[in-house]
Amino acid sequence: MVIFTRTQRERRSPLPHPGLPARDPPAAETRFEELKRYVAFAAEDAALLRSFRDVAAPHFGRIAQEFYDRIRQHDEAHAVFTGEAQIARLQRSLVLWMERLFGGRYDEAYFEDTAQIGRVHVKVGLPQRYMFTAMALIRSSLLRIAEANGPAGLAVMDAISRLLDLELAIMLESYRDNFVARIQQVERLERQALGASLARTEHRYVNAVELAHVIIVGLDAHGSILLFNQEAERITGFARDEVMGRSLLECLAIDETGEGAELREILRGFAAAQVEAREREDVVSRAIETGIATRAGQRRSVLWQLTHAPSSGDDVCVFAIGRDTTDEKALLARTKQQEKLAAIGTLAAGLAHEIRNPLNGAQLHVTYLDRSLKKSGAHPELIETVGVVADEIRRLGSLVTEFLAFARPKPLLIKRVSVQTLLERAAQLVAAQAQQHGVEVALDVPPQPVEFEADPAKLEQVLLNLTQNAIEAVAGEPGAGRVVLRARRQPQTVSFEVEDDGPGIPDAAPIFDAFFSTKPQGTGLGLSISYRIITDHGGTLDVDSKRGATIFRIVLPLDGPPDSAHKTRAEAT
Amino acid sequence: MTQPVQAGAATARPVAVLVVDGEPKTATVLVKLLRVDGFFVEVAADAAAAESRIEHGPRPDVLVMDVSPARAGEVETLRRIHARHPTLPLVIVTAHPQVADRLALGPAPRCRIVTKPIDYSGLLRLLEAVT
Repeated sequence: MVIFTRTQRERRSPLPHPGLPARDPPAAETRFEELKRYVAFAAEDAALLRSFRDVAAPHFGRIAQEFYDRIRQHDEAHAVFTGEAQIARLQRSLVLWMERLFGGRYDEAYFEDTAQIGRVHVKVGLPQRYMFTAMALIRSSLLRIAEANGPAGLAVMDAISRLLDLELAIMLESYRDNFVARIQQVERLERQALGASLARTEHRYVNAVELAHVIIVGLDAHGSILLFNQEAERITGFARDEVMGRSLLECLAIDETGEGAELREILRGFAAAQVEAREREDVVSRAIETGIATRAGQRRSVLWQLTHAPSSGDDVCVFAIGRDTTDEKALLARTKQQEKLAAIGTLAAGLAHEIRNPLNGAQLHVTYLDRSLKKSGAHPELIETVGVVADEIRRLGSLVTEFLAFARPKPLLIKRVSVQTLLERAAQLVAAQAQQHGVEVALDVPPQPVEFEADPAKLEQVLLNLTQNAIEAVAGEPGAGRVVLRARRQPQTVSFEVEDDGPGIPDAAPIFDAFFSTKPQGTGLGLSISYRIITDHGGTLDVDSKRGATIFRIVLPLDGPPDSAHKTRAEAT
Repeated sequence: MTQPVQAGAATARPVAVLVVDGEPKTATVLVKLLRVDGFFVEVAADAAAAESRIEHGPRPDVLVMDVSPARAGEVETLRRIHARHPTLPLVIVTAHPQVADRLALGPAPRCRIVTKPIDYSGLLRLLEAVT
């Protein structure tokens, strides 16, 4: 139960009615003093009551008895009590209370006693109406005694009335205190419930945003970042505090690559709608793919969907939901490449047969012609001419063989392979060529032996192809002339790099496509075959190229090609 | 461009070659070249004819056969000949990349596979090696 402080009580005290007798209020008046002033209870009343005590006291037992007899006849009032034992106890208390009424001392201690009685009434749940009627009963009994006391009793009657009003007022105050406390409790519970509900809602939304496996970025009308979820942090490598308040376009270096221009246009449109506070019909954009740069400077592609969420002030008004499509696109490209290879393979087998048969006829006839010309002592020029035809036929024959190697590769022979041995062999095989062109070939391999599962002959072919390409790229380039063969071990993979300091590869050159070549005598199959060998191993072959630094990177699984690849190969043969 | 090998020089009689080729013009020029180089050459138009020739006539010293998996029964016939005459040297000429796998002759030391177009001097070296 809440006990109000003095100040609170004073603030809450009602002003006396202007028509009622009043004295000037003292500077610091207690609630009791204020009440006494209101009912005009004075020192004379106190003295009168004290002097009347001996007259009244013999009646107290009887009054208490009559009081509880009345209650016993009233079902609802009687229901307030727990039983006769309690009634007997309360009956004794009532006698004491009446003796107190005529005690003559009406100080703060008296006030507190009455307030305590009031609080007990509240506690036992005594309805106020019964307190009023009970007080009326006692009042009438006491007044009758005073009345029987002749003319002198009139003043006593007044004093009794005033004192009982005071009693009632003090006890009613307890009900009020209780009522206020209950309201406060209800308010507090409501506040708590509201707070809990808000917290729950917030918790749900925060989790939905933070745990989502999509990039969620919230922007204000200026395109500045206000929300940056965990996935956004994971994909971009930027921590939240690094990007807050910065422009999304600048932060992630979203340029014109892909549909970057379109993304800017939509952001501008949303911003304009926000500033002019008008509704847009197209609140959700179509999917837009752009390039982004991670914190480490890596380029990735993200498929965005922008949603306009009109808001007030500087709050988030655009949600950009993004999905990292880099790996997906790479996989798609690889699948496409594989499909292309499969189609070429089918074509190649048929074509090889069709080309080799006539070539065979031609070759044998040319051999016969050559023999006959030599035998008949023909002009050397004629013999040389026939020789050229023979060479061309041979060249065509090798092209078919090379093309078949690319289009219909032999199954992989998987063995335990040493990384160091592979690279050393590749370096050895190109040593003569490198020396001839004045190119330095350097090895950069881990000191600890690294072994993995692969087809060593096929990988040697790839490394040789890449290294020879690198030597040709740097040969005769001013300021260039260095090729590095590098290997590194990662937890699940091993990577090989062939780096040269040549002029680089022109942008968008389809170097892995069959028949693409920048060399006059090239068949355009070398890199295609390498690419196929690596993908057959379940690995990847990529290139990073700029002037002065071109890196071909092979990444292979340490435990060999996945089983599915084995199966595919077995079926293909 | 090719150096004629004096085939049969080491033996009393010339090496007998049975050439099997369905392309008559090519077969003709190959036969001419081999004869010039001292081989005794016979020609069969297809695998069945070759099988019949081997079964009914004197056994050749070497069989030079154009094989294509595209021609029905050819691979089976060759396998049968090889099973009957495991010591008969074989030079298989083919345009098809996977013929070796299809033949599945197992360990046959006197069997060689040549890919078309035939390099004649290379063929001569092979014939010398297997006979």
